[in-house]
Amino acid sequence: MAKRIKNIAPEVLNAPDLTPEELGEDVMLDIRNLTVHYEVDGDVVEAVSDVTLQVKKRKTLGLVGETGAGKTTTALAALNLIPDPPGIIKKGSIYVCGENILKKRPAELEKIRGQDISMIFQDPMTSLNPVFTVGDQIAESVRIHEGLSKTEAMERAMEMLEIVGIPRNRVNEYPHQFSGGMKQRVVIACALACNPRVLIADEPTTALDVTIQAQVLDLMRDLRMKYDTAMIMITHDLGIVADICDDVAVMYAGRIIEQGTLDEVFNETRHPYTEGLFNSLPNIHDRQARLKPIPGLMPDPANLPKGCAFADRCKYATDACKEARPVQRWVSDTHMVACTAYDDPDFIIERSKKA
Amino acid sequence: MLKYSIKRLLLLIPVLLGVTFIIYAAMNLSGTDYVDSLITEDMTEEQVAAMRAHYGLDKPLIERYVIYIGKMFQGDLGKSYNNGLDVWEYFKTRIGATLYLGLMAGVVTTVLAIPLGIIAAVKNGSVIDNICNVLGVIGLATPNFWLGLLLIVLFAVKLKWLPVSGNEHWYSVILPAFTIGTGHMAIQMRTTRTAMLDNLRADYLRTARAKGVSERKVVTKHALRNALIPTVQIALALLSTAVGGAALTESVFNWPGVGKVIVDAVSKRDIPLACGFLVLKCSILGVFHVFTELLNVVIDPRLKTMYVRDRKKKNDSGKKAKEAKAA
Repeated sequence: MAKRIKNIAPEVLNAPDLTPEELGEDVMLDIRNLTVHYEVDGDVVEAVSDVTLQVKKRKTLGLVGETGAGKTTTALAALNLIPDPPGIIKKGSIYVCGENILKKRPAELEKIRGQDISMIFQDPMTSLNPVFTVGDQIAESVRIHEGLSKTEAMERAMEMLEIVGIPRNRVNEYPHQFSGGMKQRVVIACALACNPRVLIADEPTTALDVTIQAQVLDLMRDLRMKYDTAMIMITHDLGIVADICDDVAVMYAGRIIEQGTLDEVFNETRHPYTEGLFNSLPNIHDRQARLKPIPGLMPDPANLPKGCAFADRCKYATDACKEARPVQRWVSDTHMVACTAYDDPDFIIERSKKA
Repeated sequence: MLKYSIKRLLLLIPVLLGVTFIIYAAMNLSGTDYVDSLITEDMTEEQVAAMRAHYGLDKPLIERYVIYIGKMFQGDLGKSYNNGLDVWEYFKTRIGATLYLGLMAGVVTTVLAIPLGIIAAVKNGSVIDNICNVLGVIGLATPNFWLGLLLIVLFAVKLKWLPVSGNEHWYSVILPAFTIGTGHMAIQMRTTRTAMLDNLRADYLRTARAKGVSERKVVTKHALRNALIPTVQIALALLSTAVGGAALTESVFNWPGVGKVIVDAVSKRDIPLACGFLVLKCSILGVFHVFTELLNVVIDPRLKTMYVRDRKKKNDSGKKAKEAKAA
């Protein structure tokens, strides 16, 4: 099957390639202006719009946002695994280790996936094939990419199991014989088996209890140091972001609304939505304080308003917010915010006032 | 596993008892018996009664049934009323043809249906898929005996390519095998297609693709291996109907198998022959079903560990008992 991937718009395929200079040094994953639509029966769902991300060697980017914000779609696009149908990559470019992954043929993609870039999926219950042993599933990518014999690959699978804290003698057992947390660790072992240079972790610790969570995060930190892995950590958990990430991108309704270093996003928060996320965290110093959830729900991605998608839930919103999409505003070299309120040079959100 | 198989085989005994009783009762309660078909106008009442006594038909139903079962467990299935042949010996001469036809029908079904089902699923919504669906509906809606007659008219009478009936040549099996196979093919194809569609959407295929598994292997290894679980299940169920229930097709093609004998025996109220043949056929199907279950365990590892766990538990409890003793 040497045909091209079908679900990519022609302008994406025909766009000129970026030069290494344009990509920049040590950039392992470069996503520019990515727009992904899901088209079902004439309805267009703008799952991801104009997303630009960069992850360098040994760095971890936290991708934060609520369910349906487009985090997983962004991640799948990075592997060129957008479900087809209904997904279509409308615009943008994605470079993995300097290679334009959207222009690769399936045979070339197979070499990149699992070795250059690999992904930990979020639902361990369904991400493993029920009829193959966990050993087979971990060994599979090793056999594909490193051409090891069956016994060598199984030996590697056993090592991987030990690394994620599962006794090696369980290598010949099937997924249903493992608990949820152990299955998640098997999924992690599958993704790490070939020491990928870029790792996307889609809520890797959501199914795990706190002790195992810490182990898994340590494991990822080790991997980053040992193999210079660049990582994207998709999570709801701002605690994990603070723990492991260097940079943070906050997504809302398919767009990145604030992006910066960990310090910038946490301590110099600009966007009202990011502020809302922090306000929904319990405060350990003031145990009487009530949580302040963000009111309302994210708008239907098939039917986004023409203005700021967050305007209806935003306490700072003005009429201007509902008129036009906010532009991306660079506060520093690394800190970006997309919020119309900053048209007023004196605007400041409450969280920053306190600080 | 071995223990489980033996247990399942022993369960066949009550099943066979139930089957024989139903057949025996149904044939005796039908109002007429074998002797009725022999009565001629010039016979006296006494002669008829003597004939009934000769065949043992004068005794009450339960008594006859108990005698029959007693003999059956000694390996004696009696003799046919009609041709006087020993039922077991007669069965041996007929079962080969039935098994052969059933297997050939199974081959026709499997070879055509499973690849078509896979293609229909992979090319979901395409022209091939739609053609398969239409053929499937036609296959399901066509009665077997009618299709058999049509095939005879076309290939045997008009074109004279294949024999009308019987089993004299190696190619005699083609028409009856296709007659049974096409009906089953529709079911098999639909099951395969549905199972493949379910699995082609599964999350673990995405995991496999993310590992760099090629698209061909994603379909033929990861998806098909899972889709095989229901597919093989249905294939074996269909095979057992093909082997066991082809009486109508056998009649249409005058196939020298057991199905035709049973149909004739029932209509003549030849109780030992009908009962004996059905009991033997049920035994074969029973063994076949145990085999099916074992094969399932091989295909679906989730079932296997069920048995392993049982064994582990027993070992554990045994160990604990020993430890308790030692303490």
